[in-house]
Amino acid sequence: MATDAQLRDLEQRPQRYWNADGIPELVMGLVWIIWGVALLVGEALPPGRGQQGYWMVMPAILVLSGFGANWLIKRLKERLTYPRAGFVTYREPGRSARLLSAGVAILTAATLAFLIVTGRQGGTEQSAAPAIGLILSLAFLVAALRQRAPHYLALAGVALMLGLAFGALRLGWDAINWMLVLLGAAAALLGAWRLARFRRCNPPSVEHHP
Amino acid sequence: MTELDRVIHEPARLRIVALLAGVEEADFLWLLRESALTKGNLSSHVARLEEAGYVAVEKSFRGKIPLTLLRLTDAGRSAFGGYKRAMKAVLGKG
Repeated sequence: MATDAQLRDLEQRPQRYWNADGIPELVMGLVWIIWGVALLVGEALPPGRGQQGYWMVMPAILVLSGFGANWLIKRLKERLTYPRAGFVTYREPGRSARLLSAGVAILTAATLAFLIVTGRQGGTEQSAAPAIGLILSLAFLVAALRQRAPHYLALAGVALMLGLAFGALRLGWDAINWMLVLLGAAAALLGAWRLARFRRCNPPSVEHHP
Repeated sequence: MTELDRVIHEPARLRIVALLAGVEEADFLWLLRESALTKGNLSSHVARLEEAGYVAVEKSFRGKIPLTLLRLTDAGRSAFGGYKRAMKAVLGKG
């Protein structure tokens, strides 16, 4: 007789399957690198029309790359994962889940904007890197526990170490951009390693149906 | 005593239904790997679930490769929900 826990485990398999191939970390890591480099370039541009124009289009680039990442993850899974380990169409999240996600995203963006504005005024920018490192680390920890994805613990450790290291280096706001680049590199490397391992363990299936 | 749905109560079929409950649809290969059943076993249990109206099976091609997609029907989802409630009642958690 199956227990509640066993049934829950089976129902959560699709979510774990999403994380099994390393593609989400690989793509998100690349996106974070692009974001970090784009922000560093923006900070380095000399003041003037060029810089103003750059910062005008920057938010659109950040948002579009986020959507693009989702599209790329799905295409890569169709090409690399599904032919080897099976095809899955995930259930669309319900209305309440969508509202919750949107609420968390808006709250996070508002908190970051508030921290940046008050930080610039109050000169607390040196504490931004450790604070963001801690927040990211906690987010990875929650993801690791909720999605039963222990590899996220490695990223939690990297985020925390980077936050502390950049806090000690006292680079100001640039520290956050560098953190994005390095954390992105760590995520992309972890994803690439996991994808290679997944492909080794799951040879392509020729035909699977009776 | 609460009646348990005999179609779902069989362990292999319960595994199939619980796996399909977490997705919109999945193909035979994914179900085969996740359920750890043999091809023949999985086919026969899927046929039994299809017969009961709990699982819908759609055969098609992706390029030249045959693709068998399976999804839980509304009746299947409702039966699985009912089964879980019945199990809780049987185990004294309801």
